[in-house]
Amino acid sequence: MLTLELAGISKFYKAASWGLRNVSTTLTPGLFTLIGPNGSGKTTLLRLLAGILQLSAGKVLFNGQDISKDHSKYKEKLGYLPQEFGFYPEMTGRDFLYYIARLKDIPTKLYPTRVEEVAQCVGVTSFLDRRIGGWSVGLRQRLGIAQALLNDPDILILDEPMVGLDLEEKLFFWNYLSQLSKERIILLSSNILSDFITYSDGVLLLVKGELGFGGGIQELIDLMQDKVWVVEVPAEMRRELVCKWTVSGIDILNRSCRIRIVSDSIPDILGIQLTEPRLEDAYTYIVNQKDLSKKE
Amino acid sequence: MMNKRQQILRDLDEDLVNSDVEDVLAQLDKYQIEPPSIEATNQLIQSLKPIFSQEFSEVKKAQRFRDIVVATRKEKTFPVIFSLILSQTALISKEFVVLTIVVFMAGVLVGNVFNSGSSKFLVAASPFLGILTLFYEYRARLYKVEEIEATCYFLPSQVAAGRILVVLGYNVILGIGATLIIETYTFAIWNLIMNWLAPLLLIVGIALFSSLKFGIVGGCTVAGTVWSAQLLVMEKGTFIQLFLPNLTDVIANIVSMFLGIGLLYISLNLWQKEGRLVQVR
Repeated sequence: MLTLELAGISKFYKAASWGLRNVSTTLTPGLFTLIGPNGSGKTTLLRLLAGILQLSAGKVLFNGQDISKDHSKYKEKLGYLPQEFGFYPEMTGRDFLYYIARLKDIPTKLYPTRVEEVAQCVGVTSFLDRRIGGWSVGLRQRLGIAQALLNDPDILILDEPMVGLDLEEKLFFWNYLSQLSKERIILLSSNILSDFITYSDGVLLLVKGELGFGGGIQELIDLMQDKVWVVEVPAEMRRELVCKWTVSGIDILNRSCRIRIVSDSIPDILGIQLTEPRLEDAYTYIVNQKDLSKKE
Repeated sequence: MMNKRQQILRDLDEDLVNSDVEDVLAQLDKYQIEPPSIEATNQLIQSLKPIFSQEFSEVKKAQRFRDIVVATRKEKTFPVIFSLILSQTALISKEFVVLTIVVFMAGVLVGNVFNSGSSKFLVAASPFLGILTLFYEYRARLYKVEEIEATCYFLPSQVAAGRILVVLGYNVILGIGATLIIETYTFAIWNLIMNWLAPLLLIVGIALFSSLKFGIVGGCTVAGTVWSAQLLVMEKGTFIQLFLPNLTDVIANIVSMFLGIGLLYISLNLWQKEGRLVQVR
């Protein structure tokens, strides 16, 4: 079985700042989502796994082998989509996929069928012979995913792949990636919690360069049993509560609002009640815990 | 509700006045079911996933593409380096080729009108053509393609080396073509080749080396400025001859060539530094 082990990986930048600190987890075939606030180290982690950045400490082991020992062999099995990427505008979609196929050392005689195959998978076949310079954002995003699939990778690393896609396209790709993940390790980052909850097999939550949580989504939600409270208060009290407590959600009603608070103990607010936890509660709780511990 | 009841009774082949069925139907009205919550729906989907996974694994799968690639690679007879160079030639578009050939050759032909103007044009223009080709080949960072390229099979330094070969190869082919237009095959032809090849190598070396610090646009600008300054003092000799006045033209050209090759070699060795690929905080 495929395994991708992150063993205490850290990335230290100049000016005494850690991009990533001592992250350890093991990924097996499945679809995993990397979440965390902006600047938490998601892109750094994905770049380290893609071999673009060098580790300051720790190891990345693919099927037990350290990837730094033979990068080319690892990259044969890797597909990567960066957060920000572009294309040579004068190239057509087909030209670009042929170009990347050559860079991935795919034999020439296999290009035509493979390019057609991946283009069909992502739905860009009818645009393939048009110059990329004239493509829409959504089509370019699909082409980006297509190039990552060219070499039929065992590991797929996608940095915010759903940006620029409409709802229908997102649903399509979530389903498609979910299918692919039966035999592959797919790690993608996302900022939108509601998007991946249905499809992900697991989640990695990064906060300020450290792994706040790594495991199943239900496991994450279960951490919040007896820690999530809900109260309905007049709208003018909202600001006061937000300043005083860790709030994970606010529903604005007519002249009042329903506020969700995450707390280890019952907040002293009149009418507060325990409620069933959600993913957003767990996310807010862990992020705030890390914030507090950093301040201490 | 009565119509619905009639329909149900009709489906059951029951009589409308059947009191047992009436009792059952009366009970139905009392049942109120709330729609499932988002959490309950997600839980249901999560619990169904293992069942679908099992069914998927039982489906007979076709051979994976990556296995086909491995088998096909074994049939390859030519070295991987050719594949690399071929991939980088794809970056030079037909439009670029046509434009550069037309402009370059037009300059050579127009120069023919003036006494030894073609040779002077060839010597002066070759480094500029080299800078332009270098910029065109190395614009991956400008178009944000570099990160995708860096995760492909070839190392970034290998890709950079492949590109340099394409740049120099293209410029040398154009230069030789222009030389053959200007000179017939005499000893003078070698002199002319040295006169444009030496500055081409030196200026391309300066451009690539400078681009490590200033990016490709900055590097090409530095190199272009150096060559423009050289052209202004061309009558007095090359910069190397300004520092070492005893050098003959031939020796000065050889020194320029080695300097250029040296700068290219150093640049390619430094190419792997990650700070070039991504913005490091």
